[in-house]
Amino acid sequence: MDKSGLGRIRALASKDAREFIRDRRTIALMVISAFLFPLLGLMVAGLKTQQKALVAINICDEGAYAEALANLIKEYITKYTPFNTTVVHNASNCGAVPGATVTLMIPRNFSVNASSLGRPVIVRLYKLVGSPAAADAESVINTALSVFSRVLATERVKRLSEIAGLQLNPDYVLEPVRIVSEAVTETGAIASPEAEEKAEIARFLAFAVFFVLNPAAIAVADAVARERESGTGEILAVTPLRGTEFVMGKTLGSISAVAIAGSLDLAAALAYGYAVLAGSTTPISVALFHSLQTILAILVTVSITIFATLLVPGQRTATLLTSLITGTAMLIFFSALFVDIQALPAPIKAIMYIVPYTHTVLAIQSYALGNTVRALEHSLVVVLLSLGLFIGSARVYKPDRLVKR
Amino acid sequence: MSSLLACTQPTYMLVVEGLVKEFKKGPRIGPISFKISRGGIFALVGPNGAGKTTTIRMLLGIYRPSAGEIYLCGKKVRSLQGVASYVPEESAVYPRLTGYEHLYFYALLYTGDRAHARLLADKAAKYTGLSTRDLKRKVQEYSKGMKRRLLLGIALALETPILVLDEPTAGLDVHSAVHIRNLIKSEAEKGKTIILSSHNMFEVERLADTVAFINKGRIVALGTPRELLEKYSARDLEEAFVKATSR
Repeated sequence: MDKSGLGRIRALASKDAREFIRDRRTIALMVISAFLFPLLGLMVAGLKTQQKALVAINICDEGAYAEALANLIKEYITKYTPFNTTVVHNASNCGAVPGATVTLMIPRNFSVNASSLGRPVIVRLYKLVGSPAAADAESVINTALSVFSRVLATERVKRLSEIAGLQLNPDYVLEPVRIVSEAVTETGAIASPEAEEKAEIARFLAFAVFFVLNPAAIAVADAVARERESGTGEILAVTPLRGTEFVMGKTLGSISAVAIAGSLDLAAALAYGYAVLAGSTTPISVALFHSLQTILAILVTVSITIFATLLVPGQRTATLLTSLITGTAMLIFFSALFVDIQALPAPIKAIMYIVPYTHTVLAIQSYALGNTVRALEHSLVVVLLSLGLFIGSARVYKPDRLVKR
Repeated sequence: MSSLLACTQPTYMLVVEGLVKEFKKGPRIGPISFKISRGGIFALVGPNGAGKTTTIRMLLGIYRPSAGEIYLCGKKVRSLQGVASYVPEESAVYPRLTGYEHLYFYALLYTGDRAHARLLADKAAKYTGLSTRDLKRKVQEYSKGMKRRLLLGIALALETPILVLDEPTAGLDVHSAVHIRNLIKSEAEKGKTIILSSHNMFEVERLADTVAFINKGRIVALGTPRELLEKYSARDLEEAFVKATSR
């Protein structure tokens, strides 16, 4: 390529970059989208602490065990929830306390049964139908009850062992089989304690790519269709611009969008670590690699849409195509939240491997888990696919493709 | 490219022979043949759908002709792409770029050299007749006439041997139209060969030294304005056009 060819690429690229950078609406949309995921996390966490709920403990028994359980429940609710508690001694009405989100009723003879060796000890829980706060309170009450239950069980084992004249460890009676679980890597080596956390971060980060990819892809994907529809393509088609120069100019022009998206993505990835994962930090190397994958995902989207727009006429087709591509991206990124792509049957995996975004997801997950080689292999697939599509676009380029018919 | 401006060897700067475009759907355009000397102004006149735009697009390389040949300065070429500057009928612009950025963008596309492009953009700025303040504004704030002047300014300033203009003064006020016509005349005198398509018979009569009446995809009459007036015993080109196309 000669010097004037480079000049033409530069002209087209800087024109496209200027147009994009001055498109404040799209940039605002990109900023909002990038931080939508961590913001959602923050909002949910923040709203949870603002929930108003009343946990009532209705004691219908007068024994010491009932008082001990009530105190334990009260302690747990105060410690782990923002809810209020109230203790009611209402032997005449042993049921749900009106106005309470959750009522834990400790029935008559609770203490008698608790101090016995063979009787069941029952409490009743009344929870407000359809209330997430009630579900949260129930969860904390269950934790407190399991602690109380364990104390009672330990007491019973001790007393039985005394009667039998045996030296028993209550723990071995109550839990004769124990599981010791450890996380391992694919090679079977013991994984570091942080690996599990990293894997979770990686899964969510892979999903977060979509939030930045979507507006960025829409902004740059119609770069060719826009020239055609606005009529500027007709003037461009007459200039000395060649096919390769056109495709390279358009691609380099989209770099500005990609750079903005990459930076936003990096900031959002770090924010995500702090906001959603309750202070656990996203390692900077993972965040950087994630940004790189976002950039590659946008580049491959641009390459697909440029190629397809040069093949098919019409703005509507281009818009439909962009929606189809971003829809596929959403499908892949969303699936990766819940599905282990590597564990899928070969035919399904083969189909998914055709979609470049699958490699984006796998690259991020592999890198977060320390498998850098595999992460780079997946990145390479995306790079090669983009390159192939750019070459294909330069080949199919014809001046009449830039002209509205 | 600018060396073609000095092309004096053959009699004609541009020779078009039997240019035909056949569409899968739609009418056949051609065969179209004409010759233009260096510095000549050639006008293509015809009703809507006559084939003016298709002919221009074939010349410019946007459409590949089904048959026919184009000779530029005696040399056979595939099209005029890269050697012609063009202003289509629709004033298509990039709304978020300023006027001056447009001038520099097209200048850089044609020259590939930043310093040269800067000189051409400055020259084009004068041709547009727009103020420095206007040229610094984004084009989305421009009126239709201002957009037209912008595109015409750069097309005139570019050092291309051929200039193709589709309805060059459509949508312009009288002063702007006169300004543009004078510029076209002046560029032709400097050796630029100009092809224009127009509905404005007054403009054609004032500017063109060769006129082609095109109807239903074929050139039905070709000559100087005087020849056409004589041929059709008409008082003006409008009457000649009506007589030529109603036969």
